[in-house]
Amino acid sequence: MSEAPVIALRTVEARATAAPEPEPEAAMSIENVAVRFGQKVAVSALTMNYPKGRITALIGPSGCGKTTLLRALNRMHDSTPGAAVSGRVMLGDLDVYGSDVNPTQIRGRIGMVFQRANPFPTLSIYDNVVAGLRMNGVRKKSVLDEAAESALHSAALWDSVQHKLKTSAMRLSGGEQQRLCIARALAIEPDVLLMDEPTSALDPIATGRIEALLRNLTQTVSIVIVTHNMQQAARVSDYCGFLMVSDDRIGHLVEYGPTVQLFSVPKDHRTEEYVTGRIG
Amino acid sequence: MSVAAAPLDRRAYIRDVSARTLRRRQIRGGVYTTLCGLALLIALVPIVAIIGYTVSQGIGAWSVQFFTHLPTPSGIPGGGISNALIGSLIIDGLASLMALPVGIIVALFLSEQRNAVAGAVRFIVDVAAGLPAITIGLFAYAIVVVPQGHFSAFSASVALAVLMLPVVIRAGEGAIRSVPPDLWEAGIALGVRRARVARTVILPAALPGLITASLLAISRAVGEAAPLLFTAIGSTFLVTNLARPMASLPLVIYLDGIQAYPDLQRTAWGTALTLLVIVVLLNLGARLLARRMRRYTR
Repeated sequence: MSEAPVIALRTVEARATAAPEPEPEAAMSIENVAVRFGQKVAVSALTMNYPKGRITALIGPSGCGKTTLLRALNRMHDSTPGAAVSGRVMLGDLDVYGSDVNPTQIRGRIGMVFQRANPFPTLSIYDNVVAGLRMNGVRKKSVLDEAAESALHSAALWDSVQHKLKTSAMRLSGGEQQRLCIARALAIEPDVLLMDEPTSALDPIATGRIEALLRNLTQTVSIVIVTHNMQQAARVSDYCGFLMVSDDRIGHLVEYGPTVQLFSVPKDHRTEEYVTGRIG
Repeated sequence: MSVAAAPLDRRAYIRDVSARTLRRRQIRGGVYTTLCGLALLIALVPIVAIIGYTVSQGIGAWSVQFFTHLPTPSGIPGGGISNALIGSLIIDGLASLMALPVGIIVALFLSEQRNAVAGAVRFIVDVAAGLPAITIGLFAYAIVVVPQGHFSAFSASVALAVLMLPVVIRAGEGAIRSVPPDLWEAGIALGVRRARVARTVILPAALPGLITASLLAISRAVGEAAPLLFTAIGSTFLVTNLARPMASLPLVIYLDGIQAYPDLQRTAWGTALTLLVIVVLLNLGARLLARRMRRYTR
């Protein structure tokens, strides 16, 4: 057995001493969700909850459909030709794919952070943070200033950038750029924040900083994070979904539950093999 | 701290502003979508009209004889454009033989080199792409027809080759650049010479794109009449000798189209339709190959 899973399990055991909580209400929930690209079914039969004020991690080997599922939650597949999402995705009591629901409106309530930091290159740090607000019609300077400061605080970036808010976002380091993108997503005050492997392009120190700030964010948003780093899932998440590609080459949800349970007493033997590093 | 107390109020405020902005935009969006639709309609009208008019005027001239027989003088029925079909094939074929290999080699050079020479070549190619076709015809007249002392199919091929070069070079450069640089690096990391990597790895991977580039260049050349006016000049006989004046499809349209005789005008329309079909087929082929290329590189 390799060393990595041991670390992951230790992290979990330390947290497992806390009393198990009753499952909180869901910020989002999905029921029997499938995503198709043309003829090919990428993921199917996905049913799970994303509890409010908690961090839910989606883990699984490459190509199992973690990112595909994540992008189904805020209707990012709408702009992919040939992509179709079926099943039910609920944001509170709002049907995300309801016929009277505008995807623009959905994405204003479900923020997203991508694998690679993608600050708008021609905008300053300040303008990047308030970009979502401005483009949605918020003009009041006091609101923008407050929102920017608050979001940058939440992204643990305020102290280092407060004196250079007007400089280009591209001057920041990779880790800072990614935290800027988190601030940008937070500034529109979403209910849910989706994160697609937000640290996979960062070094361990920058990764540590981002993991450290996630916990504080749960006061205002619920987080769904895709990661292929099991230790990260063990460290940061409260709930965890394990996806895997089955023999039909379609991604399925193998197991879903509290992270502690998934990593210490998994119900499915495939989950156990994956978290202990024997497969995937 | 005011920041910590504010979020819920601010969230409500932002939601409210966003919702109002969205409603305003949906109305404006509807207006602009309608305007876009109108613009599309206006843009489509001339295209559909040209195709529709050419088909309606040209289809009457079409028959088996039209493609297999030689032209007859006005008033004598049963004439065809077989000599122009063969002439176009010869002239465009020879032009392709001259332009495509040179163009692809230049494209390879441009995609590999980023120095001042490459910059200068790229600039010249861009300028050449904008040259009026008639100037190119004049150029071929000056360097081929005048020294030889007579019009010839060969001089027409030279003119068309010059016309095709910039098209092949720019489209070819794009095709070669679309080969992922990882392949290039994988090649040189094996200790292989650059020229060998280009030949064995890069060019084959870019091949569908290069074929597309070639087809686009050919379809551009096939319809040009201006470069042929002082070079191939046209002929009513079946000529296969490159040193002699030769018929070609665009020349038939030009020469017969300006005649006062309705039967010759009909021939011109029939030829125009033939040319239209050839160009559509070439572009269709180019698109199909481009699609296959995308599938390959993904």
